[in-house]
Amino acid sequence: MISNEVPIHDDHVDPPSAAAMSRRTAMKMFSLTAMMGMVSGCIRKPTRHIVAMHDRPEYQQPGMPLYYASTWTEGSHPYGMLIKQIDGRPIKIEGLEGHPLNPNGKSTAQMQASLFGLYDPERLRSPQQGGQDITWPEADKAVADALRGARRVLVVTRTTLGPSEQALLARFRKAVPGAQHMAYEPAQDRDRRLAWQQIYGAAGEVTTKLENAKVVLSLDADFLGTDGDTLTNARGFAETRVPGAANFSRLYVAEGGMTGTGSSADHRIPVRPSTSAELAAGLLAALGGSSAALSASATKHGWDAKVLQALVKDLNANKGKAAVLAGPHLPAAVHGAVAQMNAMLGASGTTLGWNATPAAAIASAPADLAKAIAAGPEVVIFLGVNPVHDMPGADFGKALEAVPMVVAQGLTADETVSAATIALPAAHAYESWNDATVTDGVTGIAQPMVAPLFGGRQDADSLLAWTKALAPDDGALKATKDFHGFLQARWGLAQDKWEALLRKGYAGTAKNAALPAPREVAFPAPAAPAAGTHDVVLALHPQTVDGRFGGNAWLLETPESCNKVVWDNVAAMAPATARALGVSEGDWVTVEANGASVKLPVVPQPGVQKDTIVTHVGYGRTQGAGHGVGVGVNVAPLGSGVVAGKVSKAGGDKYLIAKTQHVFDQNASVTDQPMERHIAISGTPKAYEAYRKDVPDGPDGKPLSFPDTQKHKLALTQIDPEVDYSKGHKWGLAIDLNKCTGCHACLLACQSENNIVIVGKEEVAVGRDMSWIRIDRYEAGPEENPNILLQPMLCQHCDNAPCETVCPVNATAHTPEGLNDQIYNRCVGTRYCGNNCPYKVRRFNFFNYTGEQTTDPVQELRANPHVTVRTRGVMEKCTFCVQRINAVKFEAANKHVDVEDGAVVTACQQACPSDAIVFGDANVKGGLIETARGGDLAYHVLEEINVRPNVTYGARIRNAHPDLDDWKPGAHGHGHDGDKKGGH
Amino acid sequence: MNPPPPDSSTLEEPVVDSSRAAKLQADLRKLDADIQAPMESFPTQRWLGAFGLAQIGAVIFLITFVYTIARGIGVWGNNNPVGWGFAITNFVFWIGIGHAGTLISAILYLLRQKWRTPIARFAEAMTIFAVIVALQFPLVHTGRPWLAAYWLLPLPNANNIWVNFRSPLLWDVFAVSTYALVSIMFWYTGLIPDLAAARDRAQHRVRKLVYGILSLGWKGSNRAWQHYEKAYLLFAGLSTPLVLSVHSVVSFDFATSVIPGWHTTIFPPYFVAGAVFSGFAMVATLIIIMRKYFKLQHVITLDHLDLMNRIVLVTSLMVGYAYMMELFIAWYSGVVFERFAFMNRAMGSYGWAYAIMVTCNVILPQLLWFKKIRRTIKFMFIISIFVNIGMWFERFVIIMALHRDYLPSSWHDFTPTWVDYGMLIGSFGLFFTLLLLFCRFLPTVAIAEAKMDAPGAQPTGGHHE
Repeated sequence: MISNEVPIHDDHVDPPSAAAMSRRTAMKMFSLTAMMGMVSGCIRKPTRHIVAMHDRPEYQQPGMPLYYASTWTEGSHPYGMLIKQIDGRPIKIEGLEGHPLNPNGKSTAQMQASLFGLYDPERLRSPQQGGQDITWPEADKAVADALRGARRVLVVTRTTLGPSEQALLARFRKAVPGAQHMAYEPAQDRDRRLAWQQIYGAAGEVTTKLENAKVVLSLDADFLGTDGDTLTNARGFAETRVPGAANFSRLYVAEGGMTGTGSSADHRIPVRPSTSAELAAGLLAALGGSSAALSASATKHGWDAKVLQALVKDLNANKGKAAVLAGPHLPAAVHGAVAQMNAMLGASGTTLGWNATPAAAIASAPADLAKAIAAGPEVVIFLGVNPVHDMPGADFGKALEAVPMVVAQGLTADETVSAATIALPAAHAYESWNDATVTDGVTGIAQPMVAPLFGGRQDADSLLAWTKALAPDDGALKATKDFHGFLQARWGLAQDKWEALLRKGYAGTAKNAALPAPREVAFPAPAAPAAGTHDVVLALHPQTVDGRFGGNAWLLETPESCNKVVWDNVAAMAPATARALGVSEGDWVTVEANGASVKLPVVPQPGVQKDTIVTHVGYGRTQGAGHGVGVGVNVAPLGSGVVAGKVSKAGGDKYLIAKTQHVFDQNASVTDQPMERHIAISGTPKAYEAYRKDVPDGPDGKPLSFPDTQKHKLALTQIDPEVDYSKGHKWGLAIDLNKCTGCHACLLACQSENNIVIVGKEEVAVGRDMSWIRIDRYEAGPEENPNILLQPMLCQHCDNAPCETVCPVNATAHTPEGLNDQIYNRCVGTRYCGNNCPYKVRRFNFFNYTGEQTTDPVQELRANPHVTVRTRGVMEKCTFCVQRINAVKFEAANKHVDVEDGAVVTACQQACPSDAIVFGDANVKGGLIETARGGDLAYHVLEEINVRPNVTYGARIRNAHPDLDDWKPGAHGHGHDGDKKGGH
Repeated sequence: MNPPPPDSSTLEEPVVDSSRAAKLQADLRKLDADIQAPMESFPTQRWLGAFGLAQIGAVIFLITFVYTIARGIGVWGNNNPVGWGFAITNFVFWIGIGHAGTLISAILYLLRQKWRTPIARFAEAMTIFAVIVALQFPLVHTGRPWLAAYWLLPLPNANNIWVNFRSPLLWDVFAVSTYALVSIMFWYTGLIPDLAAARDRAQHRVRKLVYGILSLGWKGSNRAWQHYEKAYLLFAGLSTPLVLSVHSVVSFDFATSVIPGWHTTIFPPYFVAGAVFSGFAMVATLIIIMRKYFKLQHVITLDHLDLMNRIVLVTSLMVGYAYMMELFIAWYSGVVFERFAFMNRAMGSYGWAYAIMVTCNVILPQLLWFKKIRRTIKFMFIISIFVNIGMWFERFVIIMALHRDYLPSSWHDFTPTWVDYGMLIGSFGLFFTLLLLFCRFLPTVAIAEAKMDAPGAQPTGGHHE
């Protein structure tokens, strides 16, 4: 493949033509070159050595991106990835289109943020013994010597070992006869997996096909946020969120906390998690025709009986098109009842399926791990896990002190690595070869993007080295130089097939098995919650998950989806509960459970069930988490899942809580009803149907859209001369509020693509977060159970941009293609543009954030070289990814073709798992933007001030059940459907 | 407005009571000596003490100024919704203070208001120093002042990029710099005969030389006086529209925006009235001190202060009207954002600032309806200080409209930092440093004009009243 004439920057996978080994060598050299350039990066005018790329592979063009297919191995589901690499540096993660799990090429927030971990200066840089740097051969010798004499050896790994890693582990165990293996994960859906195993008769996991569902019930399952295969869930769910379409689905969520999924619900019932078994049993009985138990429970627990009646009716009416999902922390009895419900509803094969080979093995019980340590192994090896910090319950670090030889390999000197006798630096996932069981029948392959930056070595390579040392006679291993060789040999493919596999990223086709028929299992009925206790939900954090990203500053500064808290885990509780405890935001409470006690700061969170406290696991790191050290509180001592806890007010000074949003009521302080702000607009199906029957005309004679009927649409006069945008391109963006689930993948994609800095907790608390796109959250209705509206907000690229007229130095100006450009070089930082922005999307560099954060030259490698890094005193904001627009335009110009509508994909759009964002050329007749704008749900935020925004929003239709739709004919439309005012 | 006939009972000391030429001559010399006494005597301890305090303030200003430029705007409390905070509040405040001087010296001159004479020089000096202080803020409040200093000026450059003539901030640059230049020239022109007088009285060589150079060889010839009078009149004419334009233009920073609470057409007259209000109050505050310590009660009489208080009262009514009209128009507009902005202004996070503003600017000055209060130094001094506090808060209240504008999701309060307070306090230090130096080195009352207005100094036979 020779393409010297045409620069390669297209987004298909570029096949490497040289042998894989030589590519690796080349990458090592790129890395070396970069490192050499960085050597003196700290002084003001560094001497930078330019080293000519002598052996440049012919497909490598300086400054031109290459894309490599790979597999996500840092989460529970191995999504396909397309990694963008420029000059040997991976700089952006995208989803791999056509992959069995995420065929639309979408990605999670964690995938987007994972590059932070690769270039994390906190990473361990050398093997260490007793705090002293040693070499790899010395470390290997020490480990091999210890293993040789040991009778009891314990190897603790993550649960997501790939098939080749498992094969290697088997070899290792053969070489070390006393070796025991345990898979560890601090907050896995272990109990649910074990329940499923009993119910369905085999190990595996329930998969979803929500695109086929018309009614979805979630019992505490945050399936759009943290639970399970979220990308598949979000894709399927979004496909059914088209108001007016025949398959417009309805989501019921019964949950204790407030999650992203609950925020997307059409009907939400706050249910204490420990009573969910009662709810599940009642629903099961009601589906079978006897609703007495359900009504009795509803009265007893204060559940909304009307919603439950509608739910039962809805489920019964949609057999074969309904699905019930239950959260991982609920008792086994719930999963048993849910399985029966799904069987009754005919969910198997339609809305739900079965994956017999989940990527993650079922984790060992924490008690078993503690027991194994107590049994007195001579050597314990930890590979990529951190139980010293996050092991629920017991003080694991103390138990470990008795072990004579602890070997721990990790990315940073975390709590476990620091406690080890021999600490080994791991290679990052993007520096490693690997494979992964994607789903039943599909295996993904992960390839390194860069040679290990800090001399780390991937876990499997360590295992291999030790196996080779201990079993010198293993003939097959003798010829194997490293895990790459082991992996390739195990796949046993010819070179061309192997390269084809690398290009594709995975092999095999998904079986998509139907859900097996459930067995009636008599699970023990969970005990009723004891009086005076609260259900303490130790939830996965929507951004930092179980703490595995606890040192990832990008994720730490991304707000928790619902209460918008950054840089902390807090005790979120209902405002009524907080009042009853006599605490308010920033006060401390003591949570006691399982004999442990933890002090947490309070954040009142409307929608949380009154007997439920929600906090997140994985915080309170003490070592090796860089910016994450000292952030939040470690709640692992309380246990895992849902625990019964005593919550009481604790003394202490008010704690600083940093939030990116403070007011959640879009009609806050509007005293003179019926006036309302029409910013995030919603409606109900009845209102929408009534509108569609009789579409009114606006002041300009054109039919009004549904949201416009809620506003007082004015005929606006243009004072300035009209600018003709009809020639060439006119870029526009559209966001469908029906589809947004508030997952924040867009925010992190933008952060990675556009080199957006983090500012730290104190700066966020002052109000200086730098995100170019944010998810505004509006709550309406009673604080016990508000209706939620999410609205991604970014620069609207107004045609009459108010920021442009006020800049004295012309640092922000309009392009002929309708972009509102920011010229950093020209900006002197008057902040007048930011003041005059009605959407408040402009972000100012109050300090030299970039410079102050760059403590290590390696961080510079992370930056996207196609986007300017901003300095102090400069205003910045969303550019509609102008670098991507230009790349597509240049490519088209080189090929002498027109830019197709939809060819430009912004970073946020690319990442959005629910396809809520569309970008395109508004000048294209019948194009994406024209279609979006012509829709009868389309509106522009604040168009009444005639700024002519270019981001179109699709109003959300909350798909209320007809029995619960309180819209009345003749009523004037209102911003939030059928709510009295409230919120906080 | 004509001054009331002099009330001889309240005049503390008649300036001239004889028509005899010799007596007049002696009186005018005494006037010379009285006015120039502070320039010619060794600094009193009071002056040194005041100057020391002012210097501490000026040093605080310097430290906070340099610290801000070294570290970035982040050392202030500004944040994302509230892009402007104390700096622009201080800027508008000081520009407002700078209004009284030109109003007194130019407009009242053109209107032949003789009572302006004793306070004009001092007010002009105050104007210039206030503008100098004000000018520090637009520069330091930019993120990159080293670039702002020249990119804000329409200088031809190789990139052919011009300043943005649509931006009110650029209009500010023109308006304020024009105002500063014209004020300085006007002031200097008025100073020339007095500098010559100082030169003539000077004993020391250096003193003689400096005042000699500064007085541009003034000889007091008929020709020179003729030119001088013409020039002075021209400058007065030139300055008059500037009094109205500067604060109108400053108000455009807010009025031309789209932010509720800023976007109102009442701002230009409201700002001008407010500026005159605060300017006069500041002149009153300072001149009360000055006339006492420099013993100029016979030159700056209670009548003069009474007249100033009347202007303070009138302008207070004007700003009070503006406050009410803002609220009415917000309600009358029927726009939810406008209504909220003004409800929030009065009752939101900064409702306390609004309360201070209304109390100081509208309620307290009503006391000036009483003649007794208008003519009691103690009361007017206190009221004038409160007016200045109120007017600072007026600007703060207006700028804080930013903390809650359109999208509730972005609402965020502003909390000033020690640097913010330091710059506010320091700006007073800088101002008083300049003012105290002025008191020591230049005549604080226009000697020539005071002489002209001295009874008996006019040509006899004419009627000057």
